[in-house]
Amino acid sequence: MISFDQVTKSFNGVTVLEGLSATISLSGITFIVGKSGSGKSVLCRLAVGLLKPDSGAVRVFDQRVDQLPERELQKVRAQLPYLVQGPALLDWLTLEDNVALASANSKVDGRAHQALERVGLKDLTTRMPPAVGPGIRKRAAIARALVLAPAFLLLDEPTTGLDKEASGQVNDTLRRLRDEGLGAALVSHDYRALDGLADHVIEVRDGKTGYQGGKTGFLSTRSEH
Amino acid sequence: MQLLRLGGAIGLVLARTVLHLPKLDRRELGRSLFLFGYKSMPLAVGTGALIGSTVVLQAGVYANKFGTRQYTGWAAGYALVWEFGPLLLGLMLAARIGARNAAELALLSVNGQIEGLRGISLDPFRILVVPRVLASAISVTALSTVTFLVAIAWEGISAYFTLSLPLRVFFNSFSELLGVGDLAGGILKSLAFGTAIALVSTAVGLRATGGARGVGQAAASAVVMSCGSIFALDFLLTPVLMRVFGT
Amino acid sequence: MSELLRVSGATLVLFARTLRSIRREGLSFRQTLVQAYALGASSALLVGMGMTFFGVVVTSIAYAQARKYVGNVTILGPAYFELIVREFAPMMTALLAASRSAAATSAELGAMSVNEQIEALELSAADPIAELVAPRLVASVLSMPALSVIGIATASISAALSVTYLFHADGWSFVDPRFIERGDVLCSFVKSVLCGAFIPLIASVRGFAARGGAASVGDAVTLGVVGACMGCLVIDFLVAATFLVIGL
Repeated sequence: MISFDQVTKSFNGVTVLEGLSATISLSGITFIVGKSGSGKSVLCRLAVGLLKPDSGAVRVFDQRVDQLPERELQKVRAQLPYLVQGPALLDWLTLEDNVALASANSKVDGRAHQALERVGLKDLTTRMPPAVGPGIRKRAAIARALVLAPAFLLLDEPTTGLDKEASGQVNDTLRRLRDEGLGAALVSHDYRALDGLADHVIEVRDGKTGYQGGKTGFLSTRSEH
Repeated sequence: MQLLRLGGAIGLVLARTVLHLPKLDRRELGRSLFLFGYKSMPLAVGTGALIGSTVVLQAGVYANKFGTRQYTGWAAGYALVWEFGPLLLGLMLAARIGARNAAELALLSVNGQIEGLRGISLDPFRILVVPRVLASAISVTALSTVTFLVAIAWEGISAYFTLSLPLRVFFNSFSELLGVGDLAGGILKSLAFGTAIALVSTAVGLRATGGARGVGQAAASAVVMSCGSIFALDFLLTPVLMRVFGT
Repeated sequence: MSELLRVSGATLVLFARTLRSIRREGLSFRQTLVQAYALGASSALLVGMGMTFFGVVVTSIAYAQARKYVGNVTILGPAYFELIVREFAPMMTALLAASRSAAATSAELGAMSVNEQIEALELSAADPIAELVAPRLVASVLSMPALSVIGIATASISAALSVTYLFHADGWSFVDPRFIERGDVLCSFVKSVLCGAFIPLIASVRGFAARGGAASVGDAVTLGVVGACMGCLVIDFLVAATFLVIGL
């Protein structure tokens, strides 16, 4: 469980989060939604300790990540990898070598290959990132996180900038992983995907939690507006 | 103030590099050696050939001017190779390796790949920085040896053709002037230059922000600061090396 | 090899086009001053500092040699001083300026080119060459000899001072201007003017050629700086050879 308790964070005097409290369950898929600039990505970075809150507490598996030293944070991130929005792969390594970066020997003992197989890329292991589409790169990035044998995934706008087919494939991958028992939290403004994919929704509005709960409840509040 | 902060960043890069050395990523080291060392080979050979020819030209000038005091000319030529060689090659490689390394790291940090690695518990330092620092130190040392050999060979050949100085006379006079200590000094200097280039350009590259302009600026300031630190190192190392090797 | 020919060709073409655009559209005096300031002021410190260090280093080497073979360090003075004036100072200055200004020029023009600002200039009927290259070329040709003089002066002074105070010999006879001839000064001057012209041209060629994303700006900077440094070395050699042949 990831929980935020009265978290406040500001950048250069602009307050982004203002006493936000929320809980992300580790089962199923949680959508974190909100207007752009509302601080959705900040939430993810806080959860893995890439940012520290100005005040409030962030807990992952009952550990205060805002107080952990970098060495301990690395262990948290291995359990709870955070996938950035932009390009994540190194252009000069094949997809498999990129995935194998996550753990020594993972290329030799086949874990890298298995991870690529789980995201449906077992035929493209030797391709270079610039030579494949952005959807494939995103799935390879997910595979790299899978090598860590994580308990949960945090993804920042995984389908932004992808065409319909590519984002469909990324969403299918996430759905399949959920069915295998690996939950995820997605920062997203893709409401179309929400209907088919989300189990829970957290809405960030004006630096606070606007809505927190099941998907159906969120969709009905939205249709009221 | 800015300089002080950068100095701190450089120190940090050095410390973390040393700490991470046992866990070196060999494949990245290979790639960096290829990019920094092998790809700079033409530069090193070209620099060596130009230095060698220039020395001979200068010696020709002295021969015209001072007549019998030709020996003085060779003494100056020796200085050109021993002192000017590593320094000149250091500056060239500061441009070549420093700009390249800073641009690549700046690009990775501007695009977010660095955060991408950190976000999934990987250490960007182990993967991206340590192999580069090591590769740069090795490459600059090796390339400077190449430059030195090419310069001497080229010098001998052009002396033979332009001044019709027999090759044996030339190399005898050179081996008289040049001891093992001199060579070791030059190599140590190059090692220091190579390390400095990598540390400075890494620190500058990782601090880059802001799109294409940021990448360009990082590359540009990495070159300038590497050059500056090479001059300073040259200044600091020369007297020390002279004392140690007793020349 | 074909790459080398292509780039030197592009540099020559850009040189011709820049001259033509200066003749046609005149030269922005303001822009030239801005560029001269950017190049001169920012490089002056680097050159001054670098050459001060260098002066000390050169004299310590001379001293080591003198102790071994000739006795008095000042005997080597004329040879070394001439070497500083004719070879070291213009070369080091050119190389430092090449790193400094070629990197800045390729970075700036590369970023503009990637962001399609160059095309925007062309579409608004402005001549990017007159606007961007011409002031840099003129500023660089004018300020490079000045920088070189700074380099010679700082290196000589620091050489004289270090001979006097570190090696306890007559420092000012180590850098005796009587041994400097017209040929030495002319050679030094020609080198810095030619390098001054070459550096902004090659940097602009590389900057304009940048296409794509931020990666290509980084590549442009690397290529621009390396091209500028290598070009300066070649110019140095060619000028030295020419002066030897005509006997100056």
